[in-house]
Amino acid sequence: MAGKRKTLASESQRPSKRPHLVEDDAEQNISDDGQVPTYNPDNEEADSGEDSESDAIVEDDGNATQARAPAEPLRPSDAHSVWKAPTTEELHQLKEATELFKSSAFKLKIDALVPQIKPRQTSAQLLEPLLHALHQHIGSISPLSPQHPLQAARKLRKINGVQVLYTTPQPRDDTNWKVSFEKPSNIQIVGSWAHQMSVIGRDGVGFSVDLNVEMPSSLFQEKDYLDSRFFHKRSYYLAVIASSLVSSELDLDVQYDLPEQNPRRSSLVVRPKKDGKYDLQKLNASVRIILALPLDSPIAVSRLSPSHANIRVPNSSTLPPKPTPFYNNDILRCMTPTAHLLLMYSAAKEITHFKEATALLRVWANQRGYGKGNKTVFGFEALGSWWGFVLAYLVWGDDERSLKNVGTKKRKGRKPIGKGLSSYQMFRATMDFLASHDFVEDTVQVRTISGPKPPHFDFAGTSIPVFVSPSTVFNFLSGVPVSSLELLRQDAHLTLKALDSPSSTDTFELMFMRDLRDMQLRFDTIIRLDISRAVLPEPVVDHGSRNAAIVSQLDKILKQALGSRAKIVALVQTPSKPFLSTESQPPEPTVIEVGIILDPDNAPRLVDHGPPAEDPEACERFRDFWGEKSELRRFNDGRIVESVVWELAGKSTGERLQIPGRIVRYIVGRHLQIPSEDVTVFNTQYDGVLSIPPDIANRYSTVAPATAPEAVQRLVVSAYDELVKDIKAMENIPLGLVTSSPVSDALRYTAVFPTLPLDMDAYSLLPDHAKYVPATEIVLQFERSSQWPDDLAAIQKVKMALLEAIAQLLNTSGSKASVALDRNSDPIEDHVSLEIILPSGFAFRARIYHDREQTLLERLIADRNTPEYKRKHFQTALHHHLKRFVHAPRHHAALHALHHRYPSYSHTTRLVKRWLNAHWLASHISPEAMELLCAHVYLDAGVREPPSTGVSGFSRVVTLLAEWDWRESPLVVPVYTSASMVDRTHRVVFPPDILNQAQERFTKHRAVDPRLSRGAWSIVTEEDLSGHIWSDSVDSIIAGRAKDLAKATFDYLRKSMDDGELDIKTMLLHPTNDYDFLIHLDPSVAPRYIENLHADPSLWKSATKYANVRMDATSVYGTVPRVQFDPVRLLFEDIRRIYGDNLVLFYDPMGGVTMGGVWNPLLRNPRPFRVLLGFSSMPVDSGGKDNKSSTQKPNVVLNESAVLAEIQRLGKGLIKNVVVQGVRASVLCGRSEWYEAC
Amino acid sequence: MECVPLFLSQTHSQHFIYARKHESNESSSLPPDRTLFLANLPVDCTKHQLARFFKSSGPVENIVFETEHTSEDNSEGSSKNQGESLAPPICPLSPLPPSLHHTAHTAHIIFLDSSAIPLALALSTSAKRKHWPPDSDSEEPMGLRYYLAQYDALHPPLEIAKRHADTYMEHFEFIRSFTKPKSKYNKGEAIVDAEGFTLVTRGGAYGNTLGGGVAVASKKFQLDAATGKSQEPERRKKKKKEKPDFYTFQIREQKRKDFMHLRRNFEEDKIRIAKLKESRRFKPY
Repeated sequence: MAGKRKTLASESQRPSKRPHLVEDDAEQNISDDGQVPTYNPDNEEADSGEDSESDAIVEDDGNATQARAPAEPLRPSDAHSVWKAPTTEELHQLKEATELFKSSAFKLKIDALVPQIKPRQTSAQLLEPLLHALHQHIGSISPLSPQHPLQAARKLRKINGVQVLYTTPQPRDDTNWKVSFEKPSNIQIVGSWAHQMSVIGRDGVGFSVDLNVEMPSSLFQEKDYLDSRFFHKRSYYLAVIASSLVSSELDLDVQYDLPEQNPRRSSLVVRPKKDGKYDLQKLNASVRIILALPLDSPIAVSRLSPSHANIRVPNSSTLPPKPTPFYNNDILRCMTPTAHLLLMYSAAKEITHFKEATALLRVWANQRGYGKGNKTVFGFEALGSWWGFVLAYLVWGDDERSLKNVGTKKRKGRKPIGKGLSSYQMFRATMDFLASHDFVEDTVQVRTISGPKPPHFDFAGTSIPVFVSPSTVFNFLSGVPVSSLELLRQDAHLTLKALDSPSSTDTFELMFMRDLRDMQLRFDTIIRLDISRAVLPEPVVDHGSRNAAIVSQLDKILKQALGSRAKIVALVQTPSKPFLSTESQPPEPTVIEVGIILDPDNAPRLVDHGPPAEDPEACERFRDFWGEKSELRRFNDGRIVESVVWELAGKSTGERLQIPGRIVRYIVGRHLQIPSEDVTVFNTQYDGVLSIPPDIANRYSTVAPATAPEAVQRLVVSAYDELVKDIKAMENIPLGLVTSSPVSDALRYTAVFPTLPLDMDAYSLLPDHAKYVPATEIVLQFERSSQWPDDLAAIQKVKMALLEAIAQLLNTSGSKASVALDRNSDPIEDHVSLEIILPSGFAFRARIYHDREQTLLERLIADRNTPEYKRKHFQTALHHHLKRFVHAPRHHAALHALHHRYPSYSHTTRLVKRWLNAHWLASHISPEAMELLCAHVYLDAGVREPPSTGVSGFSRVVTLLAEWDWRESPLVVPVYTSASMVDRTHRVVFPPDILNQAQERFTKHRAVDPRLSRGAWSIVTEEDLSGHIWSDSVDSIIAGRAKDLAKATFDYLRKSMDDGELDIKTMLLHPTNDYDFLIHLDPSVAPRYIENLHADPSLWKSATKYANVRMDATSVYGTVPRVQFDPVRLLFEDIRRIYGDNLVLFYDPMGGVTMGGVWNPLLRNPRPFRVLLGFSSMPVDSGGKDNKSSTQKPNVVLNESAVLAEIQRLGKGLIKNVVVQGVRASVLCGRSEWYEAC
Repeated sequence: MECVPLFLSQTHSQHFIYARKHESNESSSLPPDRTLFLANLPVDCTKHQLARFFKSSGPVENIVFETEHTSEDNSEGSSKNQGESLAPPICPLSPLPPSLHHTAHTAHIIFLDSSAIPLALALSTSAKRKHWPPDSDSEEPMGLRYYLAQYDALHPPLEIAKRHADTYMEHFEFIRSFTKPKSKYNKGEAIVDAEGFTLVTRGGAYGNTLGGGVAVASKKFQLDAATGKSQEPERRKKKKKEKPDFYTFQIREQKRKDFMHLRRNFEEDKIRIAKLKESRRFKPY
């Protein structure tokens, strides 16, 4: 209740804070209405709860906001109050929500988010006593007289083992300066906690409260800025505080924390011990003690400009010492805390929504690795305070001096943004700034609003990123690699794009709610470098640590080496944790991860061109960089240039994409002497699982096994073109061919295995488990003619006659063609096809599309005289007809276009298909649905770029499956818009008008079928608003299973990244212990067995002993190829058809030799016998209690063993044995759903 | 309902068949006194096997599976064409192996003699082990052999396919010509009934009327009306001529509506977000 009263109080002050423009507008509205805004206390109260947005900032009272919000809107009187006269307040609120924010929902979500990331007022108070105690304690540490630094350190260690972290160059025995301790001149809370701007950190970092301890100026001398003397004194001072806290009675864990392993930035992290005096379990916060220089210190700021050399390495006295910008900046850092506190205070006061906008910005940054936590983008580990200054800069603008100083280039400052913008607008403006700004070219110095102006440093020529804070001359971005800022720019750019495009996915979630740090999803190629054995060309002087020096070197050389191949090369590291001050410093982390976002056009390049031979200087530099790899070459166009050539065994795109990894491996070896075995490249293209074993492929087909898959894919396409040309040229057929449409995934490059042409002569020599002949499906459309009958069944017979005529003609030209009927077909549906094996060895299946069938069916359905059961029948027929002849060709055309737009799409899809097959889901999910899933990660990449390698595409599809909430939302895939778009750079947007329709249909469908017996996945395209054409067969069990398997796979991927090794075959190994029973097939008669991932090569090797022995005698399948004949598949289909919902069966269609089945658990419950129960039953005792059981019908349950015996009979010759497994109940996901569904 | 356990060969499991004397109803053509109704038959059971199984009870006259029943019903409708018998015969395609039944299907078994029924029902209590399939060396192909046979049957030789298609079309044409309704009206003549009224008929697809020159609507119109499709172009003509923002009250109304719309959306959003909040969707990490 207290919270509510507070709100009302703030309510009354509200109008004065509003920008005037909005208010005027609102008043206008009311007078138009002719109604006087009356102050209705009742309404006012109702409204007060909704105004949580500004309370959250002003009061920072998370609890109150949370408690209020859900209660309000449910008030019954509100329901019919939509037409009541609006109050001024409400007008303001609505206007603001829609105009100042992206949408009202967006605003409400922001309001809900902010309290979650800020400390609760109540729990924040828990901290007070600790802070007081610390203040008291540090203020009362007794001074220590000046001593020699090494002596002092030894003394301190003797007391309670606290280390002094001296920095390089270490103090020596002959140093003539002394370290000492005196009472601090000031102790205060600074940083974000001081003005309630703290944002909780990721990975348990929690809140951090900065306690600034100002060292007295009497400790320092004028020359202390030289040779780390200042830092030595500082380290000693810090160690004294640590030592005194350790031996105090405050029950604290005292830890050193070195951001970026830089001892110059050391600070103390103080956490109360569990169950100690000050328990902070509720708050998840730590106090960080930082040391600062007082404003009146003798060290002159002017000595610390980036061009000053302040470390003199004794042995290089002949050369002038190099400037030490990073070192200088680290000293400047110690002068900033108080100044920054004041600046942030005035910013928060001046800029209306400053705090909220900063909080949003920091959450955004944390989710992308620009903050403390695991996998931090290098340089952003301790840059939390920067975000506030970015915002402040946007409002305050540039320092005038920085604008004048840029010589030739006329640099215009940014136009400042308004102070009264909403938090969302500020956030957007920041994104806009970050997305377009280059901090190296265009250095930023924030204008000093008040107080004396600091000296001005010229950063020109330093080629480091610069963002100088006002009042001080501290450069925030010193030490941040350029690559990290490029990644930041890219992220901001993509964020803007996502904000602008009316995407189907929840933009808010993409902005703030998702963890986007995962390397596999973020980058195309990931390389782990173990830098423990790296050798730097020169000793570490300017950089704070070896790690930082290596990173800065990597930043330079990787960029130069990869050039245009990579869009982004980012360096990512998990920062080291704080360590106890009494322990010795743990070794620096040795692993740096390099993430590369490839440019799909340039990445596969084989040759890197250098400077022409006429420019000896540039050539020298080039040779120096590349070493022996560089060679002078003459090219076709006559140029003679230095160049680097990357030879390859094969020429497939997959192999070519290995080049960037090879380059990195080579160049870090050359420049940092990192041995090759310390470099792990994660971009193997998994090509091994996308082809059949070469030794058997060699016998199956005449195509050389080493041929790149792309080339093989093209073979079947040209065979198709030939075939169509031949049929078109035929003259002796009754009707001429008009068009033909391919519908097979082999012709759109998404078949898992590139279709190999069959070697007809060798077919009889193949073992039975290699005799599968895949067919490529096509659709033929013939001339219109009045000869076609108006009867559906007769049409099929005409088709048969037409196909027979073509078959006759094809057979004369050496092909093998025959007419084939479909199994279990309906006489009125299309069921006749033409099977062709071309002389080249490719097999096709052609069907005839006759558009009159649709009209006839529609007429029959519309006819009022059609009985209901027949109408259903016709509807199914129409559905099949449309799917086969209308949707399939359309789908093919769109995805074919997508393949050309995104070169890696094909590889992604093939991997995903293989994965779904290997996990036994492909028998329930159509290949088209899989292709659309893959298309989604390309067309709706959210806040990422579309993937440019198949492997990264694969990881994203797996994540998509793991994250997609298919119960609540459809997946929207604008494939058709994409196909018609010429401009490739623009983001593909699903047409919004039909998107709404699709949403409505989805909601309706979920209302009709809440249990998701079919169509659990809704994959919406422009041509399929229901989203069920291709995913009709997916029910909630399959969808749930897919989700769980995707999660498991993704966990495996992530784990293997951390372990440094990844075995794709292990990832594709399917766990079978979730099934009730397993049907083991005989591999020797499974014709697709060679496609099996774990196929046993000895099966076909034993057959090769006598290569010329014909296998007719033992072969079941004989010598004549049977197109698409796969008895395993037929058996699977039959079992599914026969047993319906009694059981769910899974298997891997690609050569799987085990099927797994799950019983419908409901059929295990006894029920009274009826004739049409629909399952094979057996009587059970009804418990003995029932004496009248003789007259009553017996109870029955599913007779599992009889069904299994039946299945065994059905699969005679195919099935080896059936194993019944004891399964723990509900291990298989979706089982519980099954309970519901039945 | 009696329950007959079957011991499945080569396994230890049992399958249960349920048998009952056929209860006749009028529509059924089966003789009530010597027909036995069987339920929960194995999916692969054939007539031959069943006949053999019940041979001990008495000679079997006929067996009707449930699937055949329904197909018979369907064919009844078409068999009323008198021309069927006269039509040229259709040359059949290769015969397919018998299709597999759905699980737990039913059949009627008709014995030659009614005395077989009690004997057959007594099987359920007899101690003798009854094996299934009744003859171990079944002549019906199963499993892999079944699928091979089926594949070959579905790929008829080209000549047979051609002959089948041709004869089917002859048959079809014959039937069609036979059943084509012979209109008693001639084109172009108005139909005048005995009382002197002119009959109005539906128009043909191309505007020709079957009867006289008087027609009301085309078939297309009829179809559209039936399916609920509307004539788009006609509706477009009736465009609003009123200007939506001519009078002040209209503008005011519009503004009011817009605002209310805004408010409603806002309220809806709020409820949605509150729901999300409850499900803790706003904890970013």
